[in-house]
Amino acid sequence: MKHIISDQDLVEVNPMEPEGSINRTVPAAGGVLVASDVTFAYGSGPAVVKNVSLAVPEGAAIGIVGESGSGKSTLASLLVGMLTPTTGTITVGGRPWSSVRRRDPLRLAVQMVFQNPYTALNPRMTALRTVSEVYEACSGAAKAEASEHAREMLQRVGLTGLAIDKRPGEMSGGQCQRVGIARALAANPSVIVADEPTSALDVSVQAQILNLLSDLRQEQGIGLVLISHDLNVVSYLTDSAIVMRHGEVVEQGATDGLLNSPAHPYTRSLIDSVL
Amino acid sequence: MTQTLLLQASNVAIEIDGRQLVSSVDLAVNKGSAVGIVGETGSGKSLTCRAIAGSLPAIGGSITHGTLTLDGRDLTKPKAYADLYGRTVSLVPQNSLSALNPLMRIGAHLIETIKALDADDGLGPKNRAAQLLERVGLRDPERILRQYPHQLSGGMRQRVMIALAIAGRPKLLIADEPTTALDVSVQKEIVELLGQLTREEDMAMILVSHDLGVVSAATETVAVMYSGMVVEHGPTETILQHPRHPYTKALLEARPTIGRTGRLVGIPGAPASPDAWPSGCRFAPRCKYAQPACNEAVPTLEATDSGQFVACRRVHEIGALESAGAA
Amino acid sequence: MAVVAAEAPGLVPARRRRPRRLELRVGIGLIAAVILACVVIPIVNTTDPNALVAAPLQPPSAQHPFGTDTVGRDVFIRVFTAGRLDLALAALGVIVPLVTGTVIGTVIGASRSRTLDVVAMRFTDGLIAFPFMIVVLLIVLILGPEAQIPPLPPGAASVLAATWLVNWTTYARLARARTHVLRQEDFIAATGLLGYSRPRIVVRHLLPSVSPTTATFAVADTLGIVALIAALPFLGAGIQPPTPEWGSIMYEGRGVLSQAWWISLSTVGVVLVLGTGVMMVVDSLISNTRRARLT
Repeated sequence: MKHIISDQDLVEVNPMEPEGSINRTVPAAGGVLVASDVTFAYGSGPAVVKNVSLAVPEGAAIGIVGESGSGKSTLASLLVGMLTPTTGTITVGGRPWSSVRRRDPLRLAVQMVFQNPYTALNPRMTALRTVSEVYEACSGAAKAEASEHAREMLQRVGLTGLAIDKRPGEMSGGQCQRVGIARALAANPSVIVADEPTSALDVSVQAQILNLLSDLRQEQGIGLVLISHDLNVVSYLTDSAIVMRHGEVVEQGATDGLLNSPAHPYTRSLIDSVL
Repeated sequence: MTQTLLLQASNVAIEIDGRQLVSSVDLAVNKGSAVGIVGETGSGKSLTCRAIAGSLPAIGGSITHGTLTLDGRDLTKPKAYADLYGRTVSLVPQNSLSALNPLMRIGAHLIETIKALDADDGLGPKNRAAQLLERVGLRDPERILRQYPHQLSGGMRQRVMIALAIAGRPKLLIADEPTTALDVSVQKEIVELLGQLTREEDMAMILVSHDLGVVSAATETVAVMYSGMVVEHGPTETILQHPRHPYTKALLEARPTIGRTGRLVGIPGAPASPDAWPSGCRFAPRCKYAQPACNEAVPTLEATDSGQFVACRRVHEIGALESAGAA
Repeated sequence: MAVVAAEAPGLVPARRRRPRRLELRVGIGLIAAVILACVVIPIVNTTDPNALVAAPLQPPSAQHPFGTDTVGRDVFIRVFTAGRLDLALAALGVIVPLVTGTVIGTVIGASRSRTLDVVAMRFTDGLIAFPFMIVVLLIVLILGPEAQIPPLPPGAASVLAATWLVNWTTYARLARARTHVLRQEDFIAATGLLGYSRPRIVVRHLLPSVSPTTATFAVADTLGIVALIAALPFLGAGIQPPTPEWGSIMYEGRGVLSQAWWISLSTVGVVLVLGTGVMMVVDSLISNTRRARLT
């Protein structure tokens, strides 16, 4: 399987550097998914995301850390193209989301894994149906073929046997999250944006899901944007991270450096709060 | 050290509508001590809290087996709770952020509780309410008394819930996942507040969480629950440093922590539903040390040389295996 | 309760479920009994509902269980023959608006066009605000009393036309509101990210979750239609005598209520049994959908 976006497709982007003394070690140019100076407000309300720039190079894992009200979930919706920035642009494979129509193959390049594994799935569809529908709708596969692909994909995320014929109400949270990941993978994305993918799960199940996400990245080179309030999870999965507060990026850099020697007092206080 | 026992549970089983959801809980809480209960979804930790707080009948549940004594009273008897709640035991519930009535001022909540418990300490309900808010670390209590719940942040509302819970000077405070819905930076403050109140108010506490980190920050002893049973209990430090039950070990290995390198080891599979509990050790199907004999009988808690009680028939062999592996 | 629900979603106390299921069963039983009686009784008892079989205003007896009416017709056979027509009209009067309203409402709800939404909703507001009885009377005027849909008696056409014209709006509003809620849900957001076509999103993902809501309302609405058809004869509209129809039977009995209570009250009794059954079914369905949404 080939990713929809290859390196050749990438267009060099040179976003304007917003003013301020923020240390930006994450290159803001070049990447499968690039946000340049993005600001977003709901309607005429105050901006909930302010001047955020970030780039996801192919196969990279980036963490977005913040507490409630930091704008991190809104940023996730912006990155996947569910919301349109008020100012600034988000490009995928060099093209802004606004130019990517519903049936454009590029639409599939960025997929999402949601926080609540139950509401992320259609309650009336079985695991197999949820995943096989992606093959039917996105690559026009025939029913039997799509079903076969879906079985393989579910097996890859660790679901086999009776579990694949169950509906969300009959599955555990961990199983639902695996189906959600399989559905995202079926679209053959270049980047997966995971919004708090394990915060609703038990610790023992969380480890399974984190390992699955880590493997997908290593084995298939899928980029990962991990949104989380949990610094432990971010430190486990990502190479670089940004810390957000009140819609703004307060610090960004390599995850290890950021967690070991934070420059911003807010990052420091977050680290000190880890129990 | 003379410590008097406040709560003792032994072999408690709880059923709801004929389904046994908790099958064996052993727990002891001394006066003024802080005890943690750690467990995952479906482990029965919240039901255990409800049993102790006397709110099982409200959900159609009952204690069907074992003994549960709180401050000298047998809680398995009907009507045992007549005047216990609020004064002897009180609960900070799991979903406490939505537990305040949005149409009532904070003062009205507190005054109502203080009057109901007749616990104004001779100060008058209003002054006592302000004193309680100060006690839980809220500045400017006079102003907060006049405010509505939505005007307060999540952390402040949780502090109000704690103030309500300690209004009657209970001997035992149960905090059921008190930090789950809160931001990281607030979680720590709340856990520290609970620890501080326990020490200063001569009150015992049961702190329930799925997170070993939360429990370790404020408790002296901890009980680990799995599928309706306590599988390990003992001093918190000991259990965190040297867990003996395979489940506790696995739980600690499954936690990502900053600075830790190498792959996480998840626990394969998921806990069985109460209708399909294995006949032997509940954890055996997911345990890497399991042997066929583990499926024969449900293991009971036994003392170990390291100071904790463990319900695992192979606990000594596993210890030997590991020290051999380390050497 | 919330504590346990959050702790183990699959373990919500089973005891709460049972009375609901019992309620559903009893409700379905009552409805089925009325339907069965309306189907079977006119087959077994071959008395012509319009035949004069005895003296007028005879009280209930073994021969005529519900007595006789003002001209000496058997009320028992008339009530159950009327039931066939009333129930058929109710079914037709509900199913068509249910289907059209649900589809229209879901499509409007799924559309991102503000203009379409505003125009459609003001239009339904207008229809809902317009007095329904006036609509029926207007349609009777326009179609004329002779307009007929073949197997149904005269008068039925205008009643059906009126319900089809007006009643879909309620379903459309319900479906639109439910669709708006669903659009906030992650599983619908996911369909957008996967680039699914709009028809696929509406048909495969929205309609299956919208229709339980509107279908539940439809069950309750059935009763409303029965009441409507029964009320029309009081205005001189609706199904015309001598065709047996619940409303006209009650209307006839009303004049002689003090001498012959059985004419009106036997009809009322049957409608009451039907209504109780319907309400029990609705109650249990509503609590079912609510629970389904929680888990």
